Amino acid sequence: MGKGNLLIVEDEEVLSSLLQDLLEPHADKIGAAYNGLEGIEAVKNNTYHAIVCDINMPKMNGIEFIAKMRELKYEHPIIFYTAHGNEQLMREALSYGAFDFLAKPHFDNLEETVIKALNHGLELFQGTGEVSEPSVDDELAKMIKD
Amino acid sequence: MILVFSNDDNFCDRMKFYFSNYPSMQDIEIIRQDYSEDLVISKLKIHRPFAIILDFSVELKNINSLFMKLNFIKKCPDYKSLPIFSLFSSKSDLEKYAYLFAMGLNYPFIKGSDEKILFSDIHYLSFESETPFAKYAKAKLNDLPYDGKLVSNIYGFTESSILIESDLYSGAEKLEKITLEFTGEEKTLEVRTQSSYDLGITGTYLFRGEYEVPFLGPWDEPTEDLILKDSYESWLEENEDLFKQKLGRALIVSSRVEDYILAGDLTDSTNFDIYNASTFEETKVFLEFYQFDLIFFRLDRDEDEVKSENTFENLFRLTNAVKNIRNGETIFVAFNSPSRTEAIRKALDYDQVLSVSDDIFKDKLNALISVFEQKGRKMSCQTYCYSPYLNEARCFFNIDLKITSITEHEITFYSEADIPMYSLLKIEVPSSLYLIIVPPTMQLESDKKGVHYMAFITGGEESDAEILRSFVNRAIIGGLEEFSLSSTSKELDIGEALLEDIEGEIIGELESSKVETETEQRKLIVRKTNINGRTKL
Repeated sequence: MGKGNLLIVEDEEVLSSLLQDLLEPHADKIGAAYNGLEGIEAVKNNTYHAIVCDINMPKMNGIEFIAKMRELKYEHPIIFYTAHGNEQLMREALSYGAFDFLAKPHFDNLEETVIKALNHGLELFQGTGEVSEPSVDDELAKMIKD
Repeated sequence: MILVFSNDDNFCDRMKFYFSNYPSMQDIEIIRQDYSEDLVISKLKIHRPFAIILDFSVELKNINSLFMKLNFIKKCPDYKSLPIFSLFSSKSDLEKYAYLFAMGLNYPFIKGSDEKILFSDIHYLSFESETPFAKYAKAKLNDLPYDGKLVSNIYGFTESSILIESDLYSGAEKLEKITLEFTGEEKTLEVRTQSSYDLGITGTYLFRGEYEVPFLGPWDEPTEDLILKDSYESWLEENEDLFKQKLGRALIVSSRVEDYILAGDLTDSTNFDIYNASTFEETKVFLEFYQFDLIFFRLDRDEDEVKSENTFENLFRLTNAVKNIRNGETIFVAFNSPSRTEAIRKALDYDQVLSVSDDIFKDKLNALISVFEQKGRKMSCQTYCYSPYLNEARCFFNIDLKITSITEHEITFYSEADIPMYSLLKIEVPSSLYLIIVPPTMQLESDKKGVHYMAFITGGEESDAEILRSFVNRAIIGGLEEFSLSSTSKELDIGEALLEDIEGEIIGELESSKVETETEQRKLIVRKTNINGRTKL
């Protein structure tokens, strides 16, 4: 199994390049789109197992982008990164099935989250429809403080 | 639509005939169904009836389980005003199921009594339309003191207190007079309120209070209004099998009526107290008080018939509201969630949340509750014994009433207590009957004497109707004021004495006039006792 293909949707070229450099070792292929509309076209023409996307973008913001992607039946993981103050947009993104959120400018856990998303996307792509997730009972047991 | 669960086709035919006399009611469908628990629930969901009628004169299996479900269904806003009428074959049968009145059964009727009264009451309570009631002789009374016992529900017991649900609010430390049928005897007790809280929209009753058991202390004179601690404890121990220990609280936020039923099932089968709310808005009243261990939040789905706005935005508002309660220990499980747990935690800024992509289903909730039980974490509830269908212990709040009028069908009275519509009161005079508070059919002014209520009198056999008729007629004559009607033991004697008195006179006349048939005897009783000609024959 490969590492998977990743699309970065970011309107700022500098940041896009930085992310591509950071994530290159973890993906088979990295594509870049500079707004939501380009992102849609990129997904239509290529196979991407996961997407990393800015939530605040001109022309089409992250929410409009994920809404359109889900409409097009693209069910693969979409990770958003966002600056403080966009909490309402984050909650909106949840209803479209956001995979995770990363906080600008530090991008804590960026690589780990992207690897997880690509693995998840590959499992989906390989068609079983079943994605291995930890059992919610086990998760709950971990959360309950003794 | 009226749903009748019975095997009595004739009863349904007679009810259909009754409604066929009223043009606006002719479209009302009366569907008779053979009884089964699942059928009751599924028909209820499909038909959304105006009323349901359960015939207890046939063998009802799993009645407790059914009633637990009905009880929870009635907490759902869509079904809150659904009246549940019940048909019993005798008064002893009614007593057998009397605990169901504390669980929200609205209106008892004993088969063999005047069905037209039942039909017109169904007409009035179900459709809130103008109902042509039969005319009865009315006794106008001058605020006659009278005892009513408000049907309340014993929710559970702790080592030293009783949890009672009722429609009466008791402030902390307030003394309340209650009638407790308990350990095989009936006691009228004065109990001190430890705490009382609003059940909000989630309750069959408005409030749940915790009342101190008045134990006999080492220096107390043994009196009837004190309870021996030993007998209380041994009674709890003897009835252990009837109780479930409640250790934690969970809330299901879901607009689906199925999830109200599920809450009933889980309350019955787990050691969690389960509550329901349709929306975030509904949770506000009780959120702080209950301090839930778990909140199951069902997110709306696109294909849902009814949208209740249970969105991530409202889940966020809910997590925000509980953040400062229990140090944020309340765990949320979001069902129908397309997003992962990590994403939700970050977007809501709340760590104690889990995401489940499936819809709510019983096994999953059971499994999650079991995880809590296995971890043995100290949960929110003080341990208490809970039994929803406990006929061995019943409770009533004693309320002072002042009667202003009475007929053999209805009664009007003042009370200083704030009694919600459709509440049920038990009375013992002139016979053991029930009063259901109804919207008045006439103008009733409230004043400093209290709120002026109207109630239908129900739950009697033909013999009770005769006693009641005699009582009314005697009141019309003016023979009741000299008696104190707020002393129960006297009252029964008075009622019986009244009847004997009147019957004695009638028998004398009957013998002389040689009237033979029962109907004619009744007519004669009425003629004898009726002074204004308004009594219904």
